[in-house]
Amino acid sequence: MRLSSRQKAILDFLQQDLAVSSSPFLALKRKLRINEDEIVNELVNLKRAGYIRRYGAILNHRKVGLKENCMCVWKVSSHVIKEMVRITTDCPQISHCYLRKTTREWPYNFYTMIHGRSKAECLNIIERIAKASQVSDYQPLFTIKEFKKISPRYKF
Amino acid sequence: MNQKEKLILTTLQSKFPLSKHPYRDLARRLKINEKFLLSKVSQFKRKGIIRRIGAIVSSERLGHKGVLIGISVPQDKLKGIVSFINSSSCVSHNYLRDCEYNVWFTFSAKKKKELTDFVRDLRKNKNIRKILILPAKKLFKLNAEFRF
Repeated sequence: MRLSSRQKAILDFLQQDLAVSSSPFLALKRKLRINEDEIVNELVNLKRAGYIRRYGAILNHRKVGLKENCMCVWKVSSHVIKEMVRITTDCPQISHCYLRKTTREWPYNFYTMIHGRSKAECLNIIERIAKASQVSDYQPLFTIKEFKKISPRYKF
Repeated sequence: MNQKEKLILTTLQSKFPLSKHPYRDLARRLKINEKFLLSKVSQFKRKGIIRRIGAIVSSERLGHKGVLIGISVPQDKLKGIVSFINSSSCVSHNYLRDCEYNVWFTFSAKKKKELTDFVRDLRKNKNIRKILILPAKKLFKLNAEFRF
């Protein structure tokens, strides 16, 4: 599916902050001169086609009490990856799981982003994962400071 | 935050309706009135609890290649390097972490050249020696919906 100019305009609009009003698509409707049903249809299509990963409120996790964030990196052998994926993706405190390339200096291939109320809570989760997966080579890299965090705004 | 507010926030996060009048539909679902919901949403935004309401566009679907980069920056150079990294529109997340590689950021671009140019700049002009470039091989979970 190639994006039409209308779809591009809708995606651009949705990357901004939706108006807090009963009809938040009014401005877009005026701009594109199409009705709101068509806008919603396109939205559904874009979501189905995978262009929109998520639609809704994006929260600041620090402000809802999840003050500590840890990127835990793991060295997982290939035959354990499946089990590791099962354990980590099930965990509600983990938002991201990635398999990444390694380098000579950096042998860790499995990445998990863990969010907790405290460091202890994050470490508990990590220990639980280590125990369940039998993976013993890992490094918890806590966030000391957030230098930048934005929703990237893609231009079309 | 009381239970009702928590319920409103989690619903806004994970069940925001794809409809013409999302707040009206959401209010109905939560059995509250729309005006009250709108005032709560405004309040959550004012307090910074909600960053924004809208769509997260899939960078992969747009053909962007994302990498995670970890670099080792001496304390006295930190400020300058961080502002150099933050000024790139290809960087959306950048953190200080407790590790020999202390600065970690994501870099996403459509053309590979943007990454190679950026890394060359770091190495040559900014004199950063230790650089880990870690492309994703597989994404298993990406769900920044928080339970709290």
